[in-house]
Amino acid sequence: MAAASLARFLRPDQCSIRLVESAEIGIVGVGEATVPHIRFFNQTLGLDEADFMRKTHATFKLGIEFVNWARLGDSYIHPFGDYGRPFRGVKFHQVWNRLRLAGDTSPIDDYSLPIEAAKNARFAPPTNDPQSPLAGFGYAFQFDATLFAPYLRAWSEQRGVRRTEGRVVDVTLRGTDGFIESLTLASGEKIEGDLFIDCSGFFGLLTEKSLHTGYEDWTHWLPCDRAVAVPCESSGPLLPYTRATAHTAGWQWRIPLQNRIGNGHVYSSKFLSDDEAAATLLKNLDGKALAEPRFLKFVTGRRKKTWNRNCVAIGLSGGFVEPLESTSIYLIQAAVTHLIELFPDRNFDAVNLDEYNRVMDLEFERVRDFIVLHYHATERDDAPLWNYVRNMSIPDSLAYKMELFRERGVVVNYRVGLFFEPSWVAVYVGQRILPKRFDPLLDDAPLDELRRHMGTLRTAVQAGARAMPTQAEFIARHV
Amino acid sequence: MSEPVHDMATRNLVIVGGGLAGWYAAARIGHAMRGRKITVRVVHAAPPRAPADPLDVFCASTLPAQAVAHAELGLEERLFMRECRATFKLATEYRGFTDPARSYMLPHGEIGARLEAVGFHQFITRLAQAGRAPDLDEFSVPSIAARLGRFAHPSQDARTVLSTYEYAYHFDTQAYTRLLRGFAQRLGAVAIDAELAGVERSADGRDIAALTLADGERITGDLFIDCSGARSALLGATLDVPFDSWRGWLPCDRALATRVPALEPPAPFTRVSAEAGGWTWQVPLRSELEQAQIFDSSRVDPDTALKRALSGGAPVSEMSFVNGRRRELWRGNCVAVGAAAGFLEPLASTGLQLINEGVTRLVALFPDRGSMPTMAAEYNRAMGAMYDGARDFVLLHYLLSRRAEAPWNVEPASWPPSLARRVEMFRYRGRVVLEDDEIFEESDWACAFVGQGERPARYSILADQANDAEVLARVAKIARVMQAAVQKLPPHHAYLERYLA
Repeated sequence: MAAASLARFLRPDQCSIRLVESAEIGIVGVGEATVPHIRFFNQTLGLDEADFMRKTHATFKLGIEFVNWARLGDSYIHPFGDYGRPFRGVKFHQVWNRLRLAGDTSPIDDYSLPIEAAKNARFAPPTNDPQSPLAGFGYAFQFDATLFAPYLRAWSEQRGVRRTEGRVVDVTLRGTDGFIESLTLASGEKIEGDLFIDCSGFFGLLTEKSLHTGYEDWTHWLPCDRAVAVPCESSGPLLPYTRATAHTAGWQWRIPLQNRIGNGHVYSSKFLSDDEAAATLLKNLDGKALAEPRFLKFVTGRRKKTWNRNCVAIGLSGGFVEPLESTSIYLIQAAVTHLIELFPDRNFDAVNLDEYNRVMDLEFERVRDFIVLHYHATERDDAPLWNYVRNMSIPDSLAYKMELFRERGVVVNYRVGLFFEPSWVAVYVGQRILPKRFDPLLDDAPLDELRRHMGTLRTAVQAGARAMPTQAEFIARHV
Repeated sequence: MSEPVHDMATRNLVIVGGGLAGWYAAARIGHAMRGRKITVRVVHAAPPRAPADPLDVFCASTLPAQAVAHAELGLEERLFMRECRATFKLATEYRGFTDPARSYMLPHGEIGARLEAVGFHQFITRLAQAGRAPDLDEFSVPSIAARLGRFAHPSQDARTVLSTYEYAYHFDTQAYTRLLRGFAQRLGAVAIDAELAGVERSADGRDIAALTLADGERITGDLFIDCSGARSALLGATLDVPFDSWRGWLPCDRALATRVPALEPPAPFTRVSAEAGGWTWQVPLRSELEQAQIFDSSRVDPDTALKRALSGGAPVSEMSFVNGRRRELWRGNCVAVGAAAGFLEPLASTGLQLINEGVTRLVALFPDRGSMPTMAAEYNRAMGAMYDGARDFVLLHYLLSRRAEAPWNVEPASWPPSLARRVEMFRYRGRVVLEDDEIFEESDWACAFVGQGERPARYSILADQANDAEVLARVAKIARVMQAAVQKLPPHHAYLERYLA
């Protein structure tokens, strides 16, 4: 992704791009779920959506279903889109909350078109007409990351990126300032460069092994440190959403692709053995496993400086937050976007690096806080992991946001970083953080009038979803 | 589940101060809460010899958000404009802030066009480095229209460049305050025409318990809104929230304002001009022109300034102020709005906008009696950032001035770190650093920096895709299309006459 974006925006007469990769080192990723920003990435490169989807076995994604998170038996979908419509300028979720406090029981899910479509395995792209019932939502993709990488490789190579197959065996630092001067490959070839982008994964070949940048460990907020993944055969309708099912010491992802389903179990090694984790995973598959389970280890956190000297760490080398909200690809995209905006000259001035690290810190921390919310806001007390996360102290940046929602349904919005108001509403409500009080602007609103407003919206959502084809039909026709 | 008992509801609102801030708050809150079982009382007599609040005296020169606020209120534009002798505003002209001979526009609208996913000013930097230095003013419909004295409402058709701007207003503040007062009273606000004699704190000292009026009446409330002006009778004088002065950065402390009959048709923009010792402003109403001097009384003798102002023959209003804000804007059950919260000289038309933002956020965070501390913390975080961002924006005009006399050439002991960072990043590569809560957006900051003569050392690689000739051709075309479109707009005064006929 970094090579393709840089090739798109750097003129070849000004800058040459080389990419070193080794076939000996595998790609992590067994079915990747994304957020809607991926479409902007694809559009920027001018990728044809149908072609991209065919070549990566992609499906459409309207949201993520969370099962068993706040309580065993609970389920909610975090949709890519708005809920309902405002009532006389009052936000929809406040109207819903007003009626909830009056005893109404209709779930907030009933007012989201992407949720209704997702539940019925339907899909159609949104229209641009805001008055249309098919407006007000977005979509992302679920695809095979091991196929997306070669797809981007071909695209990049056509635009002048030079790819070198080889394993890095040595990194030479400049004596004066400790900047990276060159890489030496197993073949003996020496590769010099001005700027090095470390996409080597958790290992952090350049940023950590050579520059010793250091890592901020977030395990005390997000204790999962292992994953085991396996693909399985598809069964049932082709669902346009990712599922994250909480288990006793972690959670399991289910990412449907066109040809199979990607599955994985993220867990904490403190509370679960690898064998137990694999057994739980295999027990909870929709179809026959198609490979041996693969194990991954990780430490949740962020590199202390994702840009250090002349090295920018992008992807897992920069930091890792478990894929509960499908943010891994987004964080790569954000890093590349900010790097392009702050593309350096050979001076690598501190002012530029500091600004990059400031915004990337915000990007990481805002994703982290949102993930922490899923764990911390639980009522589960059936296993040690849940007892730990329920009682742990959380970042201040999350604590005050939760308090404002719990108090009166207020959502704090911000400029840099992922997750807008509807996402926060979805997860607060889904995790049973429910406002104690209602918005005083609705104090006088006659309840039957609010109920009529809600009824109209519910009907429109149902009609909108019915007007969509199933995802399988849509893919057969357009992809 | 049964209907919850709403025993903690905030039902009894007391606003202290009946100026612009007080009646604006009463109207907006009254409208948002219309039909609710809530009482809004406005204690509105100023004590004798109270210094005039500059926010009440100056004409209002607003930012575009005011049109949005009026739409929310249901305040009809024609009615409002007639009552308040209002004119349209497309920009502010800054004269002599870099050197005495130069001026630039801060327009209400887009600059240039989106050529890549990057601010248009990056292309201007690129051309400047190639030896061409087109003026940003040529790439803004509102700047071009302002200079030519033209106006029409923006087009709704996104395909035309006439949809790339917004507009604001100039109007008479006292007429506006009367209009809002009528509006608020029709919504049920009660005006109490009595002077404030005393303020009681609650037993624990954290809240306001009651007000005592000069006639002996005692007024209790759930939530008090302090709109008492710079004396900050509740938040500052009673709850002891300290005032953080910005005087070390913004030394002006006096203003003299006068109205003269207009000799020319009203310009669709505000003009501010840097002078020795301070600056002046000109705000056009329908048939009058407000002229004001804002200056540092340690550098300009107030008597001399007054004599000069009086020589015009019109009455002169004299005002004193200190730039700065209260460390907290909401404490306990007391929120300050307007000068009771803070004051910023009107160089960037932020006066009414800070009131507007405060009231909007107060409505969004409207507290129950149990949730005051939670809501106050969030209000202080967001509104504090709004004030500080606006201060940075005004202050950059001083600190980046190239004029050779005080206060423009004074280097303060230290800069606010937030502004230092913004300036450093702009100089380094034309990047505008924005916080989460800001009044001004990227194009505003870029215009101000460029207008003040800042030339970034580098430009974005996103502005480097095409060759110089292609960029020049595209940029020239934008200017041409804008120029041609503006030529079709009517003169501002003709448009006003027709629109308000």
